[in-house]
Amino acid sequence: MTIQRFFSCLLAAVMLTALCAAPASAQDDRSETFTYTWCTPGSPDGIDYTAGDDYARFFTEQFNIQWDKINTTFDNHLERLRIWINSGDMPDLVNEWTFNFSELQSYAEQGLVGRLPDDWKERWPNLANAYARTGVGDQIEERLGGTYALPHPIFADHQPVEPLVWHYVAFMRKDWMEACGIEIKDSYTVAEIMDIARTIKEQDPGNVGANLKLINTHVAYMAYMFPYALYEGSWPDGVFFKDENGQIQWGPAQPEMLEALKVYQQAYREGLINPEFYTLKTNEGAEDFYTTGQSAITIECGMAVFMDRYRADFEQNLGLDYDEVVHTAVITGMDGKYHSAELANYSGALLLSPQLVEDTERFERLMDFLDYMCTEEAQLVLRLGLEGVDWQYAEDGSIELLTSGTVSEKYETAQRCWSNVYVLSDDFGIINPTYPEAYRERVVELYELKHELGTDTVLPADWDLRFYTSPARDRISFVYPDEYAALILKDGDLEENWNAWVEEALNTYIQPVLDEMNELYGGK
Amino acid sequence: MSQVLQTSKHFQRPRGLAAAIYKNRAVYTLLLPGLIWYLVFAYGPMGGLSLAFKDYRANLGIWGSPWVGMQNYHYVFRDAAFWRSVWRTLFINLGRLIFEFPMPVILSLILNELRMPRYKKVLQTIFTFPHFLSWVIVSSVMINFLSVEGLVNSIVKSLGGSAFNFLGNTTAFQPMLYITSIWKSAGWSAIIYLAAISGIDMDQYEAAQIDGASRLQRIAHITLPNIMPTVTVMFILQTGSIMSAGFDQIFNLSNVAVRDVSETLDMYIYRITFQAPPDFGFSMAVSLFRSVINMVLLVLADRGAKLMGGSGLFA
Repeated sequence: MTIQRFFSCLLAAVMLTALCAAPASAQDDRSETFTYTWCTPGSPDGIDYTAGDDYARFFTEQFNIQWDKINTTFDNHLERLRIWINSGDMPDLVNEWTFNFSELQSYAEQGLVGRLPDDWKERWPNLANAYARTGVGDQIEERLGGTYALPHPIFADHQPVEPLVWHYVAFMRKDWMEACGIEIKDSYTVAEIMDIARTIKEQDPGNVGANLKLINTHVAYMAYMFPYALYEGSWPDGVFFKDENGQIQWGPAQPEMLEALKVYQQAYREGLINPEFYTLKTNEGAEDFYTTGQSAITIECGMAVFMDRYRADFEQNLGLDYDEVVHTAVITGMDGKYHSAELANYSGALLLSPQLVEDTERFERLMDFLDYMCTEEAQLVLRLGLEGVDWQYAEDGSIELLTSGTVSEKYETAQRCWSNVYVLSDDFGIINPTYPEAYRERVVELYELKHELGTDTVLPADWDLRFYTSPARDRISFVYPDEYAALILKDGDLEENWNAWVEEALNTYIQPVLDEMNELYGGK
Repeated sequence: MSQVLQTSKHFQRPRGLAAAIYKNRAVYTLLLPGLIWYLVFAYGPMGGLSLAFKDYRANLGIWGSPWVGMQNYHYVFRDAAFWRSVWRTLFINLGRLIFEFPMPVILSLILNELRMPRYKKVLQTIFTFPHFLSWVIVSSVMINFLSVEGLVNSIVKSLGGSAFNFLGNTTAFQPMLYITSIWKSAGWSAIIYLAAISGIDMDQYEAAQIDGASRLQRIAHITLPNIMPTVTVMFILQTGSIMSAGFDQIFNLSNVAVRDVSETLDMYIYRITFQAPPDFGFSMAVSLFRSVINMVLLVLADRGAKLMGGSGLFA
């Protein structure tokens, strides 16, 4: 081969390569800045989530994107979202925390939310892998004929148990329990919890006096302490279930529900529960636990981040060492078993607007970004901060922290915004070294204990029932914790009140749905 | 012949009206913004009422959504909670007419009798100020005041009594609504009566004084009769909103313990609209029902006022 021929071939190869590479370059061209409207609940206002700190810039500059951030509160998020979606005016990207399949189906049928292209899983594999971990993606796609939502995986790589259950546990004043001679255990039955409350009430080891609130949390969390702990059919995800004959039943109408309510009412009437728990807003009950130190028991997320937050709060507000004074435990039914409905590995979903999906370049850039956020590299920065600044790899490959504190403490943009872009923080929380190892281990222990105690009392997810939709089903507007609390607070005889409530609920809302579901799925 | 004349008059009238409008075009131009506002924001959206008879599909819009006849009402009227909310709304708001409505009138009469202008202004400002607080703030204050550990119970306990559960007591809920509403709104509502009082001819008071009328007699025989047309109009207006008053207040002051006495029609509409997958047809059916009842009550109150020899809203 002559030199001339060699160079001709080389030139041809270079030109061919350039020709092939050209579309890819154009595809990866991120010179144009794209701005996206992004709505999340609970994010503080007044923060520049695009470039407010190095943490935000690390992500936005890589993809040359900007956020036009819409911050809602948890109280009004869903209302506003429904109005936007129904008026065809939803933001480009929305974190929706109360995923409702029926609503999604309605939106999908009407083209009000974006449908991802059929080949999205091949094009964005990291996102697809995380999506697959939820276990519900296929179920939803099968019913809708495409991907219209990206459910947030609670756990991606570090799921502690399967089937999954909720993380809520009891946070209890260990020092008071020890002072009263109460045995410290990993799980307590509801009856034992009530006994503990009675003992603390009698002995008042914290010298709190008249302000002592024994079991203290708001209505929604109180359900975890009583009805949910006592009867799996009371869980909103488990209210419709198949009995041993394959017939579909409604949990709140079962005798077990009445028994659970009787215990709940007894605790209230005995003064073991904050007498005004129904007026408490989110966190107010927990605040009495770690701010004023007037509560003996509260319910909280059994996550390392919450234990760490409580540690800081106890130290700051009460000058107490969390590890010395707080104990976390699983609440079980009277039979010592953990009662629950299986929790699918997702919480809420990410929705994209149809306008965004149609705008190919903007859509693809956002999907590139979401795909990257599911990589290990991005997760490390999301959860730990910037490499070389907040952490680094040690010689043995382990992670070495360079600064103290959590990422939310170091970067204001991380608060309730970046951390839950897609994969939820629960996953990395199991291994996140910014939280004390003991807390992370405790989280896993509690999950494993629930698993162990709930082998035959955790209702498995039945997707046909959970994702069943019809006009009659959509008209059921019960907020179950509110219904249970209203029943036990009502004057008169509980059984009579419950019977009247069940009768009205069945006649008006529930029986038509049971009939429809039994016709479709009953006896199978 | 007379029929021909009437017909020709009938045809001439619009021309006369058009001529009159043209002649006074400057004045009518001033009317335009208000007219446009009403058309765009008051009458235009009334087309949305058709949703009560439709299965609303956002992608098809209000006009394109399919008609379903009375189907939404079939569901509404079958719901016992709906009927309970209707009666509860009537009951609460009738109480408002009895207990709340007279308060601004009484307050305006008292303020009018004050003889120290500066003191009167200070009091008026104090009474008017709560109107500018939102119900979110007022309810937070009330919850702090009335909770078991709140100010009121602390005083009760310090006097040797035992704490009373105001916030979770179904009997106390309705009086609490009236008291908070009077505290918040009486001062503001009194302004309109004070304005009416200020228009009364002072000669009447002077003549009564010369005749030896006491202050109470002057109030009863001069002030009250003079402001009665205003009171009547306000009464009719309040009757016209009897099915829809007070959502903010009830939403913020209620809780699950008093749900049986606090789910008014507005709260019911909120629940079915925002605590379940949205069904705008269903929600609109309830809203339309409420509006129709309000309208009927408004007309009845107007006719009633006229039958009793008073003035009404409509000619």
